[in-house]
Amino acid sequence: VIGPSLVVAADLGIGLACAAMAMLVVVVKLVRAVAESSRQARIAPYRDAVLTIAADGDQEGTASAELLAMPERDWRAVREVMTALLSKVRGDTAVTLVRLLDARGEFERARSAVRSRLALRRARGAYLLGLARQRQDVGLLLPLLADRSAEVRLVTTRSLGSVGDPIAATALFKALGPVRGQPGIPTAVAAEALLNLGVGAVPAVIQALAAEDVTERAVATMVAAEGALSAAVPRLRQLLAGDPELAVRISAVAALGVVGGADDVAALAANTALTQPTAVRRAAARALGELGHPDAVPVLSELLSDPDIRLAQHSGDALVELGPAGVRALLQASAGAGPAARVAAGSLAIARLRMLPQVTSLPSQLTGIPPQVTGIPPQVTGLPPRVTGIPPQVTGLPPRVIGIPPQVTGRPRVPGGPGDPR
Amino acid sequence: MTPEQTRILVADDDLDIRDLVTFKLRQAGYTVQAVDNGTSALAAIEEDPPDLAVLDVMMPGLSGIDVLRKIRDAGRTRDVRVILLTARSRDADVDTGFATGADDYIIKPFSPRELLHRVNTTLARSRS
Repeated sequence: VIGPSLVVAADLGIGLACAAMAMLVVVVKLVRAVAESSRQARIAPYRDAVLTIAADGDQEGTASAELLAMPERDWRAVREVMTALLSKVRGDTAVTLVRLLDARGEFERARSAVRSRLALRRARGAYLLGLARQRQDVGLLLPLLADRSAEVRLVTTRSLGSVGDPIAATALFKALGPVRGQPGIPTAVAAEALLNLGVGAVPAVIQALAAEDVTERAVATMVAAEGALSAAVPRLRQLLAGDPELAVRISAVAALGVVGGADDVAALAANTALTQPTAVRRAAARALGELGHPDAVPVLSELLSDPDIRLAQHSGDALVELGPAGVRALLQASAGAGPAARVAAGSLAIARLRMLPQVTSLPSQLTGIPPQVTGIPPQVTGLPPRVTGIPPQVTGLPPRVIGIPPQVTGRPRVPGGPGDPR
Repeated sequence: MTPEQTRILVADDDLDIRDLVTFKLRQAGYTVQAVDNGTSALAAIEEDPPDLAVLDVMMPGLSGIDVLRKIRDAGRTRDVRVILLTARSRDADVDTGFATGADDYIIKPFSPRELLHRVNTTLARSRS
């Protein structure tokens, strides 16, 4: 049994704790505001000099001279602005900023910092060396891929990508695996870094496609697709045919859609079969569209009536990607009845809204959609009728379904007009 | 029209980028107004349409794409030239930018010198 006095005491305690927490928040915010204000005050006298250099306007070198001569205490605030700018600009501007930071000894300090016992210093050092983009620093960065801190490993991955030396490729793949019981570097970050290494990294990517580690294989397929590595096609075909991991097979399907050729249509089509996992079937339909070969028209047309509605929609969109042959198949399907007709009409409608040339460039005789049929005046949609028009005769859908919503047109529906559901 | 008579709006929530772009364009003689979010950008454009707007895509409130869509839909602002300046570099993002009506698309990290060339070219095209 809890007595009333105990309840009051507990309420009071909670109240005091809340008040203390609120006070703490206010104090922290005040301290931060004061610190930021002080930082801005230190930067202010030099802001024009920094911007002059960053804007590529320091022809006489006076701004650089000013920053080289400034006191160390103020420099610490200014260097933050310069490093922030360096990550956002390229070209001569970036070169000038790097020279200035180098002249102030920032990169030498960064080379020492990567050996620091503090993770924050190691991460900062790795970040700065990435901004410097000097290949001589790769040797210092590579050991940090096995650092005990996940943040340091992450920053190092990005920095190695910035430096762009393909010698780092194999180490980046290996860093995908667990380090000291922690997860490896994130796959998307690793893939982006690997792509930045350029063609010199291709042999390592091909090798990783055959790696024992599933993450390495998956990332290698991502890189092969994004980097359009045609040299990877034979290995991608092997992965598609027999990799035991579903994720790798899906990546291989997507990659072949990008870098494959006419020879891959049959294999991709086979992966849309009902016996395949749903994710593989959908990826294969999308890949056939990406590949863009007209041989895929029959299989994609067949999939328009698939019980998996997402797969059917992917197939409709893929047919648009195939160009005139695919669009003709969609028009034919949309003139029929049933689910396939609705899916085909939907894909055509989306293609029109996206103003894809393979649809908008077709003469109205071919599409069978004369502008006057759409009944949606251009002043309502802001788009020409042949782009937005989806006549009910073609889609088989009631007008309220085909009505273009305001979030697409950016204008309210006209009461009682096209698209008004009433 | 002289550069001084040409008015450019710069909208970016990143102070460093906003200052750098503003500085570079003012250095070239343009009259520049800078704002730090999409809502202010739209308000400024609707109040007094500039000759050109340099819009970041990812901003708090309205995105650069939202702002672009709204100004292209309104008669008074439809002809404002727009350059999107963004870190979004995927083909699909670029496609969306141009499909929405952008006159040009610049990917960060960017060269301030190239930005100025693109601004000059976009303005010259609009005058011709």
